[in-house]
Amino acid sequence: MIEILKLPFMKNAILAGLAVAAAASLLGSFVVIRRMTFIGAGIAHSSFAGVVIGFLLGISPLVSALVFASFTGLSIGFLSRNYRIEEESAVGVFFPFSMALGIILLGFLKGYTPNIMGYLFGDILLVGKTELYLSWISLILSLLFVGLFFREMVFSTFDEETAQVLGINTSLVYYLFLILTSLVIVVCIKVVGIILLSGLLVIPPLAALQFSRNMKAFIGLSVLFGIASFLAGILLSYLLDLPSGATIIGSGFVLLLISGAVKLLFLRD
Amino acid sequence: MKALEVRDLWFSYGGEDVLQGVNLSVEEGEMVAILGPNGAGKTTLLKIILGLLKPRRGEVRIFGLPPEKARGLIGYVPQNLQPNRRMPITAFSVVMMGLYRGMLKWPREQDRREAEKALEEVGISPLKKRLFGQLSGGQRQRVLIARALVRKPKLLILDEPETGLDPSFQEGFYKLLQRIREKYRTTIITVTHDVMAVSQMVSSIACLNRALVAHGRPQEVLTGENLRCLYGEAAAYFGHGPAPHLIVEEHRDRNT
Repeated sequence: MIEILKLPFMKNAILAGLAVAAAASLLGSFVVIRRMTFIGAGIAHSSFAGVVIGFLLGISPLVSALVFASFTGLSIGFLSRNYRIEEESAVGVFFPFSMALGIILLGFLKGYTPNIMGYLFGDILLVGKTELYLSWISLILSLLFVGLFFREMVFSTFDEETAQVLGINTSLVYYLFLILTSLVIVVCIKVVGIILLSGLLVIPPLAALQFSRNMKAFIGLSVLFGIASFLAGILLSYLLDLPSGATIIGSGFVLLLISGAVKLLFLRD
Repeated sequence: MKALEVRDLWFSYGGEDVLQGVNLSVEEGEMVAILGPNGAGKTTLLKIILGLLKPRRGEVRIFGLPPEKARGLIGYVPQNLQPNRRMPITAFSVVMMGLYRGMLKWPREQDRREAEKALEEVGISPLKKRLFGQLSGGQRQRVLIARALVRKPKLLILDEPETGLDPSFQEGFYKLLQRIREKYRTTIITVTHDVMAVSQMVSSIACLNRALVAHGRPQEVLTGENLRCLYGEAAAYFGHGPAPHLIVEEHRDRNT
């Protein structure tokens, strides 16, 4: 591991990856419990159009992806809360539309063709100083959000109506959560890629769920599993010369299998 | 003092009047059952009382206060709550939710004792460390009542609390409500389909079918005329579960 850190690009990648893995599994805990897994995947895929628009306009694809992803996340949230459209149906519309838009716009890119595969499947070599800073900012914001709104998130996840009766502004908490999730998703793109991203959001919390009896332990364990999946994945990808994003998600999956097996064999209720 | 005063309440969903000029008055310490068919506006009425929906016209006063200012006085047990069953949250933590006071106002040691007491009150202290999702329907309902009780509410509002309950537990459940009412002088408003179960215990029944059809003592209200107005001609079916009660004209005579 120390040998890898001596490579300058790997140092950036690992420091940025650690932050996004922690942030994604932190917010992912609520994504899983709120049954919003498909929204996570939807926001991730919708950022594809944002990336291509960034290249077309000559601005940072990260910025345009963030705008596009937040817009999609908030639209899905708004439609499902106000117009009785199921979240899944809203995602089912935005997800293919954004991918289609991205593919159509890709045809308008003249001359320089960006590394689209890197955005789709992740490429740790794409992680630069900007991603490094953004990843830590997104982790700090996620920690602040969960720290400040922990009870509000737990209550509105458990029983939104009663949470409102208790005086909690559940819509504000929900929309803040969607914006923050969009930010974390966009920052994750270069590490694991758009296609694989929901794995980082969902797999560590699912593994943590096997062993948790309260929300704090669940979130803590989820972050720990997220970091472990990332470190195992990046190390394996370096040692075996495998694609980094896929290896990180693969490691998470193995961790989930082990967790499930341990629960099944030793911890059955 | 009036625990609840509803005056000329109108509410519309998509241009359709779901509530049409409802007036309802409930004295402190009363237990009222709100009865009516599906789509009668029962849950809408509760949501307006709770301050979750704004009426098109009319007003609600809870102990003289508008709903949004009366939240501290209300305990609420929602209808058929279905949180993610895998959510890692214990019965005790669910009860602690009832003591939420606002952002960054963390629970105190006293709150934990209150939560313990509320769990004892509903008879499920031994289950406090169990995950909510692993409890049976009746146990979950008791936890939700404990969550409402821990607030020491002056007004307890329940929306079809019998849904999902084992029929054998239903009677015990209503007895629990009655005990709470007698002990704390809590005013209780419960929406129900199961009029037979509650008619012996409530002080009054409000029949709602978009408008308030009748409100009074059970024996005054449960007449064939009112039931027809609620449920259509000839007969009325009530109750969840495998064996709904059938009320026919002959029974009416016995009730009146």
